[in-house]
Amino acid sequence: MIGASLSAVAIEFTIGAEESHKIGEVGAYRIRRWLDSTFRFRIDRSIYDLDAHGDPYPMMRLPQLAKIDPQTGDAVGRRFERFDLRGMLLNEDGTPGRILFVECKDYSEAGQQGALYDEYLAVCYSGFVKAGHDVEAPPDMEFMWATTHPFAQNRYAALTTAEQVKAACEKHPDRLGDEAFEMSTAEQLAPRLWLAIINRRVEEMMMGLVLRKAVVSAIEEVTA
Amino acid sequence: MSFVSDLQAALDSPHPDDAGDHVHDLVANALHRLLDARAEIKRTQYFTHTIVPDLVLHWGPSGNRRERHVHLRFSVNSDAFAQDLELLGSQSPLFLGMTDRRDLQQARWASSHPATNGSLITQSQVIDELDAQASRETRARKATGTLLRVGRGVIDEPRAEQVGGNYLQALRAMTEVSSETVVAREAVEQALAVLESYLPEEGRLEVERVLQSEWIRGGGDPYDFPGSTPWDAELLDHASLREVLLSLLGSRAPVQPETWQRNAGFIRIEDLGRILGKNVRGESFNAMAHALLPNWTAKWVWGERLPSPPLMATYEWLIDNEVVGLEVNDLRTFFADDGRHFKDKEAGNPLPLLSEGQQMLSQPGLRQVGLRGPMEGIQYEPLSSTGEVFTRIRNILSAPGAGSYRVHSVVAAVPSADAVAKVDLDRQIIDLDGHSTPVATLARMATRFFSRASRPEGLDHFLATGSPPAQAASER
Repeated sequence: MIGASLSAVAIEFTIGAEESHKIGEVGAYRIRRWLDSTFRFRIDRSIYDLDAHGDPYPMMRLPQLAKIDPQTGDAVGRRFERFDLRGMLLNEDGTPGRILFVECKDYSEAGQQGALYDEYLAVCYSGFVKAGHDVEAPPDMEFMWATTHPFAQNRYAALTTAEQVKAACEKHPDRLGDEAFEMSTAEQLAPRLWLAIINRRVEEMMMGLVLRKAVVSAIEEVTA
Repeated sequence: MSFVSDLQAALDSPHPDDAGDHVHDLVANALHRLLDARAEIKRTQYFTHTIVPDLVLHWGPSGNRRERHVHLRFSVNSDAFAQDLELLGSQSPLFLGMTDRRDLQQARWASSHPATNGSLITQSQVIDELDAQASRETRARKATGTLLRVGRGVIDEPRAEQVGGNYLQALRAMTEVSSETVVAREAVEQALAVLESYLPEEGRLEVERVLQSEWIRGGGDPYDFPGSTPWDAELLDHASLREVLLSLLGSRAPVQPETWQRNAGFIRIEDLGRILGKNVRGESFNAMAHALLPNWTAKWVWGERLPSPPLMATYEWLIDNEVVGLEVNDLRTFFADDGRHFKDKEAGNPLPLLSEGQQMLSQPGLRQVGLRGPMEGIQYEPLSSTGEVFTRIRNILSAPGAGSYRVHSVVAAVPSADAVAKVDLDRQIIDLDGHSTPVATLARMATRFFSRASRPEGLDHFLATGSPPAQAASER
């Protein structure tokens, strides 16, 4: 059951799929642990957290813009994408803030990550617009690309800008369904994009047991 | 609805926070059912967090509060779970797998041989299994509580069935322990052997004590119990001793006096109330008190006279507010070594008129009698040549109006003992001035000085036989 479900994990990229470098459960768990250890993020679910039937939970899905078939009125193409991790950003007082979707990648070199990242940005834009339609406001969600290796170093500083979102959407117009790209929406999205390079030795960067126990104990007091 | 199906419904909630809250509620309620009532369960706002536990169990006395973290995981069968063990295992938490249904005989993480330390790794279906066992036999809850608090290792559904099945079998066998001792012994040995794999030493001893209590309650001799150490009640801590003594008090079979002597003969009357930790009265406690009475001494006595004698004659030993007492008709008498038990006892009890004190003052051994009249107090101290005290005082106070004098204190030799009792009738307290005095003697003295309705011969009969006198019994 589990093996069958794993084929459906995370974003289904249309390009470079043969080397999309799905991170796998253990790698995703490492990133989850690192994010948790910052106490700025709180990850509640992973694509590998399966229900009793061996399926990922629906909340891992991010609905996408889709073309509407004028004959049937039905959506055509992908109606949602799944991310590897889903959690929350935590506010100053530890209360949950915006939802965070995390796409995890396991690379030992830059590879075709830049191309995949562009499609990921188009997916984020599509999901952001779709969710905005549902709530008639900018949705309370943010996105993170968490990878084990840096990429696109000649444009690295611009990877989370509105211009980069625009360029990504132009490369993947199918991700926008019937919608036209709007720069103002990209500008709302850009500050909600995170890019994290996760060192393979990240475990060694986390606090040790004694400090962790003290922090957990304090958190228990604050949140119990 | 089972725990598993409830959990599944909660996890299907579309919003993560709702799902987390619902799941925490369900798990906390399940743990409450399976733990003893003294355990406290705190929830955090973190759901399946890799570092912060979902819930924290707390138990134990305030000076030695213990805790165990509970980490919820969707699966405790995956490769990634090895990282949980690596990161969190040193704190010996409880991991509960929520959705994986496969048993853990060949868990995928096991191949990497992570150290589980004292962690307990279990699954939601185990909660249902333990719940089912506890609902079939509520006494099983004590073992499940121990397992959840300090248990270790991997317990999936088949293992939970094995552990619970053996435990229930032992409980059933012990109901016939007095007649089928060998069968009960084997069942207990089997249950303890199975549990041993999942419990550290403190847990094993805890479960052993619980089974031992059941053994005793079923009428078994504690010395026949197949424990890990030879039975010696004097080596038990107070909690364990309480468990044993309450089991004996609750035993369906009669408890022999020598059993009481072996298990409680070393306990001072001062300590007994605190060890038992609850109010008890009459019935099996009468038998216990009768068996232990020859050992009991006290340095203080406090009498409490009821407003009126009961319609039915009463003869009962009791523990009230951790102090051992005796109720005989209109008088309840408490015995202690530490006078601070009675420090707040108020004065103002009605004092007997001199004319009413004939029986009290006509016995030998009086050293001093304090009288209080409308105008003055008088302290009478007989010399050795003086005759019978009551008559002598009456003669001295033969003047008109002397009948209004009341007796407020007496100093008297304690019969058959080298001690002097200071009797304060105003507060109804007897101070033995630090001398440990047999409780039977003190009970008789208290009756003599404080009771208005007791028959001394009735009390003598009760103290001697442990049964109410025939007349009183027939009145019942």
